[in-house]
Amino acid sequence: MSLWVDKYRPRSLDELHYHPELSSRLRSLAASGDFPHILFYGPSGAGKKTRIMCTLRELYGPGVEKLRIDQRVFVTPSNRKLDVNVVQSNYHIELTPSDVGMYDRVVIQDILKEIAQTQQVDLNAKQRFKVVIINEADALSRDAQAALRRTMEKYMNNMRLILCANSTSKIIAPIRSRCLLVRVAAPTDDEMSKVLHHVAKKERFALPSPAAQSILSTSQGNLRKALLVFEAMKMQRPDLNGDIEVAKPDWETYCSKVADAIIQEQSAQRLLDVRGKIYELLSHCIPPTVVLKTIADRIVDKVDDALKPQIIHWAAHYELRMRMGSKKIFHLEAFIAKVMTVYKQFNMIGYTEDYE
Amino acid sequence: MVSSSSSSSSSKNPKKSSSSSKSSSSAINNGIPSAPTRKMSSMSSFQPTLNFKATPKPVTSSVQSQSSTPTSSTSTSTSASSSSSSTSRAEEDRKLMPPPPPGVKAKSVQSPSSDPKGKKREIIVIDDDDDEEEARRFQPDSVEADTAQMWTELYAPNNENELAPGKARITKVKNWLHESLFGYPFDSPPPPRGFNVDKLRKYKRILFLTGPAGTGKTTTMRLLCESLGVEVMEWGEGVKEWSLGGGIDRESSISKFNTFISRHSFPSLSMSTQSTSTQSSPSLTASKPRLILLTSLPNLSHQSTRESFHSSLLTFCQTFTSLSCPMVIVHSDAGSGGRAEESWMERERGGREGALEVLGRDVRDGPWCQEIDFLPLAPTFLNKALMRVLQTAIPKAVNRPSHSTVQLIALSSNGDLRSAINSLQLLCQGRKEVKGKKRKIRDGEEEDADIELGPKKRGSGKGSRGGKGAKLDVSKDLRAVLDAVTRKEQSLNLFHALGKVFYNKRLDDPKIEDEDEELLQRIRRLPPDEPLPPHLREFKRRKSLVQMEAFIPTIPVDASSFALWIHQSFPNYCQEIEQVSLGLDELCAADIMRTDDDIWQSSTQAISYALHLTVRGTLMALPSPVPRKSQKVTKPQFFESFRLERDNTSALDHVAGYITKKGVMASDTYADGGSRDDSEDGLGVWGGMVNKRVLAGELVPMMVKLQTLSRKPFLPSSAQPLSLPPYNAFSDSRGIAELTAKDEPEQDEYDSTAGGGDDGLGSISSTQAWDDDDTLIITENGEGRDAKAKDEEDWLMNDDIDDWD
Repeated sequence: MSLWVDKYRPRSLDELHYHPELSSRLRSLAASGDFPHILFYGPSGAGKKTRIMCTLRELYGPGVEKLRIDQRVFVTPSNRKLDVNVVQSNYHIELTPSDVGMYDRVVIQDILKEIAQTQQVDLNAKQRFKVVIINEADALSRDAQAALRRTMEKYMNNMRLILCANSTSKIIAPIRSRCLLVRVAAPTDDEMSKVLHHVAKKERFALPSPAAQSILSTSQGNLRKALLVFEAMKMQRPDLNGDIEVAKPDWETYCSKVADAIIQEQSAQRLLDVRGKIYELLSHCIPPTVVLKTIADRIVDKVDDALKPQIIHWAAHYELRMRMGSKKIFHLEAFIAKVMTVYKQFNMIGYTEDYE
Repeated sequence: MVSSSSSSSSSKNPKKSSSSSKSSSSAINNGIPSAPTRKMSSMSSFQPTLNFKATPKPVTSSVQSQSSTPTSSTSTSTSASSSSSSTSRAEEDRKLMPPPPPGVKAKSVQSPSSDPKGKKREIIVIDDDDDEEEARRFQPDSVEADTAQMWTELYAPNNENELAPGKARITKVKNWLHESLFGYPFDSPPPPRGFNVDKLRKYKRILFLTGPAGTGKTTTMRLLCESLGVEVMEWGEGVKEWSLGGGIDRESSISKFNTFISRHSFPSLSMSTQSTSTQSSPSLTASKPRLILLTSLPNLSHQSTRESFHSSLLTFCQTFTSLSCPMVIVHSDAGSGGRAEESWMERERGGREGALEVLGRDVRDGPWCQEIDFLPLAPTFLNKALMRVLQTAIPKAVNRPSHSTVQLIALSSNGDLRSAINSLQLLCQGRKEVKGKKRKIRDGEEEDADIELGPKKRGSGKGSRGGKGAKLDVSKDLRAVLDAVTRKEQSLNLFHALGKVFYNKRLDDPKIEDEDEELLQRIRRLPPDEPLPPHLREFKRRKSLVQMEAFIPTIPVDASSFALWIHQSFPNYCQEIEQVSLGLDELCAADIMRTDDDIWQSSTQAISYALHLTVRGTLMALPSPVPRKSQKVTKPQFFESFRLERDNTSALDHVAGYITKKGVMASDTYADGGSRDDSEDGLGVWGGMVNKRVLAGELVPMMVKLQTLSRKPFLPSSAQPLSLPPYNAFSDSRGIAELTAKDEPEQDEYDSTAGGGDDGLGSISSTQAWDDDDTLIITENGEGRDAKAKDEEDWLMNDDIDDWD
């Protein structure tokens, strides 16, 4: 049983639905034999990983799909052992070093050295080098990035890197300059609906355009999310007709209800009630910054125009503090209290003005 | 100046020479130390005397004679000049140059360092004078002979009735032991002959006793074993084996452990029993039950040790014959008690070493293992146990400390019987010394006019505390002593400290008459505040009765935990949301100061700033006077949430692994030449590893939803707790009462959405199809867990004392 997201994921560069120029460039790069280090960047759900896998297939043929999972154990200088899950084929290896937090440098150094020092043994391999895919490259610590930089120069013969990141801003300049930067932009609404209709056709049903429209508006350029929502909606209401509710992730609904509760009443008691909900969200591993953003977005949607800049200002203010602090709940709650205060005062003043 | 610089340099000296010189000097200046001093002194103060005996006096004299050599004379002269710059230069020299022979350096510091040491001793001796009589009264008669032994060992319980833990628990342990050894429970009649006792015994292999330190786990175990006639084989990290092995012991402790288990899990051969036993029949001795007791575990934080420990436990469980014996593991988990006085981070760290860590997943989830949790002892139980110990230790009732003293020790020991008994012993034996030291500290710190204020204020503060503490009639003086002896009164003070902040008492509050008159006087005497400029008028407050200098040291928890406690209950004491917002802003500012991973962390200053900011900010934000509507102080939800988050993160990791595995399997078929098929169960195409954020925010929630709708398994069962419970309206007991009539329509709407699933937030029933093709055991379903969490968040007013056992 697999999700539509996985089931209809393109396997080759030809199957990709959008960014055709990018696909053709990647194809020619793969054919040239002079494959560079590449840094793929772009928003979540735009298709970076899909393109990376397609490129690999272009480079090595179907052999790259012969995967295995390895659990590598790394020893830190302080003798702590770290387990890192690694997915690899004969031609490439994929890892997420940022999973181990501050020890990512050790992982990077060990794995890259190991890969770089072993030659390609498969004589039938199309390329002499192996590819190392590093996920979440923008979450790498500075040390790890510096380590990466040195290895990139040193082992260019045996190895190419493919980095995958959401933005280049957290990647140090030396790495950016050593990579070919490939931006995978989020698909436009037209491109997304093309994909949705493609999936619908494969699943042998027709997607009515109001439903498509509502999917597009919730997913905001995130194709993965769009397909997940689409599948859930199809499951909820097989005919997809009429006014159906968009199947959002639970926590989003949760957040917007919290936002409604904030607007509904501004009191210490309400804050305490909301606190329980926030704790619930946090304990389900929803990142606190995402919670803050979602609540703020919802509130901004609901309040008077004059208040919107204020809400956004405070959201930014507390987001920054949250990044600096350690107890996220304090900052989330301080944001909520501040929004309540602002909203309450605005209402009071508005009321008195009307009264006069 | 002279003494401080020289003493600092003395600490830099090689240990041996300085300690020997110190010991000799102290002995010389002090004459013969009094007997109780030596008895009371801890190991560190013992050390010098021992060294003194070991190193013959000529050493010191030779040092003195060496001072005439040119190298040492220069260093002596620099230190004699006693300017700080020269001292630092000398230190620099010391760093640069290879160290001179130890004796030479010792000389340069010897004479100045001896002075303060000698003075200290003298103070103690002088101070002792006035208390001597009282101390002698407490001096127990039997102590003289048994000073070497702790009362905890000396007066351990002799029979089951004397055991401190609750009856139910002891019976549970006893039943388990009986079942594991004889195959039937203790309280049931023995089964008929021929009954296969191994049927039950097979599944009673490991008993895992947990609980905070000092709750009588080991004592219970030993006593029960003795009463059942069980031969206990205990494994401890081999101190003895070190000395036996001639110093070179290449065998790792874990392999020793394995040997131990295999050696002892079966009875010794009958040959040996025949040769050694003097009993009637060899068959009887052969069947004498045995038991393996593990009180100290190998270093489980080391991964390979842990793994091999787990595997040896598993082997132990799986290889059962009717002859093999059960195992009991005693593990005191410092963390799980949720004691208020530990920092929450520490508790998280300590708590990590739970049953899973010790036993390993296979053993813990297997049928062989039972876990019995010992709770901290309730004060009444402690009291009983302490009285028993006291009665045996000090036969004459006159010599015993008063009943209320014992009660106070029981109250302040946080359910730790061992420490309570130790405190008692300390109190009875060494009251004199403690008193002396105490006096000295007080003299040093509070030489100004306020000498009387410190202890008195503290005494009165405790007197005003409600609950059990208030009933005790203990003199202030004795309290001070106990403070010094036990140093553990803190958790009683937490609510007191929080109350001080939350009630935000200020001068000229309407209902102030019940306050301590002395404190009021003192605050009235303070100079009036400077008037604030017009633009700061809003910050004008009356004088607070919380005097920070006195208050800060009495806070019993670390700054970070205190902030959490404040945060949890503070909005209850506010009237307006503006006040809450103001206070929370200050908490935020304090939190930023104290992050765990930047430079501030290393600075203790920052922590104290953060604490000040927390307390002062809260006081500033709270209304004055604070409305009293019987608000309750609750335990921070943060801890529970943090724990859940950690559990869920590991569940998420597991899901990530599962998804990867599935993807890889699917990808394999493609690699083998399989082509895309568009049938119902088409295979997924590998799209790389999924990152955590996407997993938590998009994939898992949507997969949970799809799973609910389609009843097809997408996720492993371990992902069950990851689904959010339905959004309940604010139905907590506190919420409802506060809601006004105007809110009720919404209230209804919320309730209806919570029940039904039409908004997509439908509850997930436990009957749902979770993918079980996985080896993981099903964790509790999300909602049950949630209910449990709510139970645990009980009112803390009575949590800390009454509810145990």
